[in-house]
Amino acid sequence: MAERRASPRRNFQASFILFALVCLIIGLLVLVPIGYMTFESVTDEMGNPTLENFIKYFGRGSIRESLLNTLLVSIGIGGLGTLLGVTLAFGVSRTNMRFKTLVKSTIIIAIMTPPFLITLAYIILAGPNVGFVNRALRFLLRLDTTYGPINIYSVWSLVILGLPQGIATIFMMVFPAMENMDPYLEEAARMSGGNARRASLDITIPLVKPAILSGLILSFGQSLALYGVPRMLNINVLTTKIRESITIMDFKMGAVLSTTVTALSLLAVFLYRRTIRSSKKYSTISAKGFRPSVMKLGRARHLFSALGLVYALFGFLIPYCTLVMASFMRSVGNGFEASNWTVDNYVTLLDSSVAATAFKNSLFLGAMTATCVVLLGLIAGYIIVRAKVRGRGVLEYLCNMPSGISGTALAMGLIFMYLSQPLNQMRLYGTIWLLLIAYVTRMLPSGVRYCQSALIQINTELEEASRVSGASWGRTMLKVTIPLARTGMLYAWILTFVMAFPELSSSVMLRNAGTDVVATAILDLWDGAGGLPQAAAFGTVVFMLVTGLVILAQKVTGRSMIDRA
Amino acid sequence: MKRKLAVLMCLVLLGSLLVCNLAGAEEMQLTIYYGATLDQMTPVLDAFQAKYPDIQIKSYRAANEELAATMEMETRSGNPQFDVVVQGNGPVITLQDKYDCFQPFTCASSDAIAEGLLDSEGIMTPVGTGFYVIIYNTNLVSEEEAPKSFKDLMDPKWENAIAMADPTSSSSVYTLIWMMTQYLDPQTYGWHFFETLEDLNVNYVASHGTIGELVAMGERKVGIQVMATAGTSLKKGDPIAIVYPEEGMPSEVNVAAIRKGTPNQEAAELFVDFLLSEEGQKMVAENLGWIPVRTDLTDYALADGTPLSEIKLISRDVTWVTEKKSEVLDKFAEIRD
Repeated sequence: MAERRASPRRNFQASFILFALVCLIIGLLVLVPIGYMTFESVTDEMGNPTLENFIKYFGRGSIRESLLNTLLVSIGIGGLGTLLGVTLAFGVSRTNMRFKTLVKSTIIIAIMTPPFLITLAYIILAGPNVGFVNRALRFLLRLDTTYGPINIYSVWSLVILGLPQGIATIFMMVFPAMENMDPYLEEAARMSGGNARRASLDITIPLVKPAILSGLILSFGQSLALYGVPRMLNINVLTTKIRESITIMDFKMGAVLSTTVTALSLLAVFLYRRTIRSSKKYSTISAKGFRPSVMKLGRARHLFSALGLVYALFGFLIPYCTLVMASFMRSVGNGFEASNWTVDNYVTLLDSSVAATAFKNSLFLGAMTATCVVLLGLIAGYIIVRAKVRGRGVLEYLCNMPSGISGTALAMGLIFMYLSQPLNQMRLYGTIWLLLIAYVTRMLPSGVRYCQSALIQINTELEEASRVSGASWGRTMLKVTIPLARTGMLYAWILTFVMAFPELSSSVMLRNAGTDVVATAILDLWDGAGGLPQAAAFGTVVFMLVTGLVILAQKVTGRSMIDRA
Repeated sequence: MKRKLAVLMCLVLLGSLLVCNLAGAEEMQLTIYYGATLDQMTPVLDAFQAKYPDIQIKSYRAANEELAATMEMETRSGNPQFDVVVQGNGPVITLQDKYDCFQPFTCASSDAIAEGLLDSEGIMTPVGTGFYVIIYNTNLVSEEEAPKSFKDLMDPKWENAIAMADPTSSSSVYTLIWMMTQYLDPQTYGWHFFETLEDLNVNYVASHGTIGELVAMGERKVGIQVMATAGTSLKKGDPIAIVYPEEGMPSEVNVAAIRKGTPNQEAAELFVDFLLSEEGQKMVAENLGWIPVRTDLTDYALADGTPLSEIKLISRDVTWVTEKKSEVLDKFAEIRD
């Protein structure tokens, strides 16, 4: 019996080897491409170190403009998103506002669907000449003009189009903090003579400040990485410039821009990690079972309801209804005439081999990515949550890094990495495997997060019991931990799949014959391969699939993306 | 139970996808890269497939410029995927100069091809001639109001109304730029033409298909468009009409080229021969909207019925187009600043 008992020494070694292995894999995925890209940006053609490249490219007006636009958009989305996201989170969790379910649905949809889908709709809705919204506004405001007032082809529209996702990101961070807050703190404030407004401003907001800050930084980083929307509107930002550098074959320019955007977003991730660390000091979660109190607002209730409704209308209902409608039109220019309605766009889609290939590739990539990410996430999550290995903080940091790297910059790094010696010998460029590498890297942070939360929910006693009874670490993992975390892993799997399925910004840089995915196919349709109605049809299918899977994930696992289990 | 079922389903899905992706080999294969749009090229590929059912065809479509970039990166990675490419001759010349990556080929019908179009080294086989036109939205602009020439586009009445291709992502538009700055009178046209369009708040879009969409929607009343895409819009039933500008129209030769060292040379040659056959040329004319390069197709008319004899084509200087690219880009960046 004694021989079969796993020695602590061996266990330590096993978990350390695993730790090193995971660090190696994740480092290879995350650090090496960034390294290649940075190296390329600070060396000349001969490989000698220089800062000339930065001076050269940022000397160009159009590149400075792209940096300025990028910052403007990120700060705009971050700022407005925080204002509206926090208000909505407060409204939904703490007040008796109406439309709560609608707001929550919009939040989930905004998180899960790529913003370029609503952009398709807003091109129809807000085109400066004939967009429905503009025509309505001109009529309502009695403007004597045929142009505007809203111009979708502007930097500001980029802020508006990125806003639904920005609001949702911040809502997702702040809402749980509000839900978990001890209502006695607010009550105390009110008993001491403060009114409801004072209580929220002096108590609630400061308590959830760390969550607000991390939401702000997260959405800032997300906005830096926006690619599909500016690409469709042809707006000059860093990510579209990176793509341009490839089409004009100026690799140095691509390296400089990718390094810049990555440095900016890594700074955001760094700040994010710091706020998370300090937020533990202001823990709002305690073991007490309570529901936060709901404030009975007077007239202010209508304000919250109106905001919620506007958010749901413009972030979800109007654009997706427009998308579905356009998908049944022959030519959007002919409007609502009877002869203009058709199901041909869907029929063409079914017949199209490109659509079929793209769909198959996205299913394959989604499934493979989800599987890889859940496996990596489980091991990394286990080490972060359970193992007492030194340096696991580094691992956590590594896992979170990709959330700050834009898909375009990551793809640029991968291109450098797999196009130069010695890795070009692997001949990965032009294959679906390179896309898979990019996908796994991009989805890693959310995968690890989901797995981590699945593991946290399992009581350590069960694992300890298994170990005490003589089972090895691996056996415990297989027989106890994984079965217990199964539901959580399934949930993580489906959500990762859903997020990987419509990936655009890396795919557009790395695809070629046979490796088109749904997002690039939609972009091609809009670019002229079949036109806006067909792009809308494909977009509608993707939207239905994504929504269906999210509902399935919640039903099957009994979890919710927003509410507490 | 529910959970087990869900896990099982996921595994089955994953397994089947793996099988899908690994299956299929041991047939004659052909990878075709092209710059035309999907709905233009699909009928041509289908006809070729019907004729040679044993060839397993893979195709990849991207705007000319992006296509060239993909081929360049594949070549650099040592893992080129394309066997044959069909696109404007500019990027092909650039690639050939840089990497020597295409091989000469004499197609079966070379005797029937208009002599002036043949490439002396035989690297590029001409497939069809594309050219620039103006399109307008017929719901918003009457025939009388419509521009008759490129010069008409400089009229202030077209403020906020014009769409054209962005030189950073389209290579065809260099044909237009060449004509305005090099061929026509520099006083009336030249860079002044593009500066005026900029003042009129022209909408630069990434690809010509998008120009068609914007004009069809009415978001832009007129567009400077390639004929091929204008023809597609007409076929789709978009509310647009085509104007053949009085100054004449700049044209570009679209070519096919076979990659040096491709393992699928036989299939690639069959494809190029098909494109140049009588049947192939008719399909090219009808679907890709290019003027056939064969001299024996005499009854050819343009998509809106206009006979070829009524239009004036001006052949661009391809050397200028390929050599002056970065200068043009800088100039545009300056204009748009």
